Amino acid sequence: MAAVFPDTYVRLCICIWIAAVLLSLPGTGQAQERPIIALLPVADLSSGVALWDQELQRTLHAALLSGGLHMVAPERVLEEVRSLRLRDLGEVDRFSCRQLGTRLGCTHLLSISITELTGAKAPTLGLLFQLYHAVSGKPIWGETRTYSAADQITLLGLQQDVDLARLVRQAAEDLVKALGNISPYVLARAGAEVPANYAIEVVDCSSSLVRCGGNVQCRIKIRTEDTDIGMFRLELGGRDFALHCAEVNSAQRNIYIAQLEAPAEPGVYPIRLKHAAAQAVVMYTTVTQIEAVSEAVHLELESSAVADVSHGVPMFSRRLTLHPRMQDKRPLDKWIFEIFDSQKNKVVSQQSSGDLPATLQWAGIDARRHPLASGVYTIKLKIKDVAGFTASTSTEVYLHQPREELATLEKVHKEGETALLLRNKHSAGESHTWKMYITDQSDNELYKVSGTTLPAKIILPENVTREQDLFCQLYVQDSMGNRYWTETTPVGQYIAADVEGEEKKSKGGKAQKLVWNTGF
Amino acid sequence: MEHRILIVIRIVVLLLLCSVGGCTRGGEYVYTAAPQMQIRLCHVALLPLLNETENSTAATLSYRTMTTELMAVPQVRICNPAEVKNALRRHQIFPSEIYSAPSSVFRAMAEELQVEGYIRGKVITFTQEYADSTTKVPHITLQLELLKADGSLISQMFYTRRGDDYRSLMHYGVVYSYTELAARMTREIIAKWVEQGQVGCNP
Repeated sequence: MAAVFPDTYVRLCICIWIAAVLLSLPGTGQAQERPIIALLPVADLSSGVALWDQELQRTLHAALLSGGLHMVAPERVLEEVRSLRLRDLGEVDRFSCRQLGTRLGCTHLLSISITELTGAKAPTLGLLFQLYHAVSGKPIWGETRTYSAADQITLLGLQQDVDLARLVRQAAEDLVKALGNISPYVLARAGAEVPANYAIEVVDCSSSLVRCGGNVQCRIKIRTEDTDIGMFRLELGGRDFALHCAEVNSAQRNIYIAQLEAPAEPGVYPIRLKHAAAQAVVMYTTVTQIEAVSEAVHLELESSAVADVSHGVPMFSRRLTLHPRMQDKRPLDKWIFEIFDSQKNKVVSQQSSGDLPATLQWAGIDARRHPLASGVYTIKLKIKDVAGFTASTSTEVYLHQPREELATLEKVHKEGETALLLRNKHSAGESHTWKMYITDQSDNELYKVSGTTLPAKIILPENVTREQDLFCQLYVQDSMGNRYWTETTPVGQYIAADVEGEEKKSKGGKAQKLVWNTGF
Repeated sequence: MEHRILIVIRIVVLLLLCSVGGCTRGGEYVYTAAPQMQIRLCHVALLPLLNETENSTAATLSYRTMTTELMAVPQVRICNPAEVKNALRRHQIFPSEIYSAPSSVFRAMAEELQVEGYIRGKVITFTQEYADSTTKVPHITLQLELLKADGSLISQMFYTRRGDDYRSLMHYGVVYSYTELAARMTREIIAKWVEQGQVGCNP
């Protein structure tokens, strides 16, 4: 007995193992479900020959029927697709698959897309076949097929008479063969997984950043065939919030609103849709997430200005680049950028809604694009995040204005008059007060003239023009109170100085440059 | 005297310990490193491709063809492409923002879609070029990335093919359509990933 027992035991184990293997094989130990296929309306991505999608649909359906496959009537498919308002049938989501499967009583959905379709001399047809499991909505099989007249070239290089209708017939034959070759295991794959009885289309919350304990309103568009909305709730930070219907749509696309309260502790929290089904099974789907914050973010402003001992603050010339940095990146409601001169006058102010740019640049000009005088300026940046917290930072810089050309000056003789012709580099209409001094070689003042708008031409009195060596100096004060002056610059054909101050002999009548000196 | 005996005993014990240690060490010291755990993705989601070409249909055609081919191969389980687009829409990630989406969004989407990673890519070239004086063939260039569930990069590749790359003899083998070229490229890319052990499902 003792010797028989292990032998019997081993035999019993082997029998159980063989039975298990046989049962696990597809189509042997269990009854195989005969696939019922719904052919979805063909999606045409090709923008090619019109109406061939319908011809292809008809040909493929007829071929599949004659191939012995159990097909859903095309009229019924079309009717349900219309009633569910499904548009892009090249891609069908899991909920739509399940809806169609239930309504059409099919096991699988066959989606066909035309990717390329050209007629005329060289017909080409590109097709994508995708098979979805109707219950789970999972894609289980796919095949790409392309047919081209160019592929039909024989060994001798002679092209057979190929038209689009023939390519479509060939595609239908290939599809029937391909579907026949799919193993029952693949057809049954993923069939046990049932997706949720709803699909979330759009989620729109009032803010992705909220104060701890603050309120946030979320709108959510759900597709469901459940009429009892009480089974749906939104969950945030372990608390449930009721949904209220805002809009009912005939195609089971309803919009709901919920008022949520953010958790008291800072952190990133998911907002989940909670669905309590009739069988007391609770399903959660994460729809979006929010960040709860309790304090303002730390803000810094890094500038391209270089250290300068003489002025005590970093200095720049021509262009200043500023890099605003936040300790944690936050969505902003608005930001304000301001620059003040040493007299606390605001010379630049800019504000905008939304996030900060990566860099801010200042060319040393005011809001009206007038160059500002050299000096110390205070730059301030303020932000307000979408949770309502504000932060600010400031930095001081020294603006060193380079010598800029103000105007060119030349002495002209015309119709018995001698004039200084001032070609102004500034735009017309800018208000300035100005003074011009004409001196001789010994720095004696020969003439002085002033005005409120910088003229283009100043006519000199006869006694002045008789002088051989004339020197000119111009003072300007703009409407912002900035003062500029030029170096004493020779005028006329005798002595001239270039921009660099180097003395040179110049040819008569050549225009001389007047160069700004700036300061207070 | 006792003190000296104690020292001698200690030296003997120390020598014995050293000799025992020497025996156990067995000569040359060998360190065996634990094999590095390589990530192998089975369930993946193909993110919408960015179109960097002048052809407006390039991304859609390539994306649909790639999803179809990914459905066809047994080594990968591809997520329903409509579900991927729904998830992106819910998380308010536009196709142009896929490359800048935060890690938290990738993680949330992976959990929702029940995937272990993503395939992300761009269509760089999508043109017809002359293979000879009369025949035009398609030319496609893809830049693809394999990502973990948190959006971090596993590997990336730059893959370019022309229809006449497949020419076998005379005019045979040449690929004339974009669809066929995109499908072949996808099959080759998946084969490479499978060969490198980055993609594959347990049988």
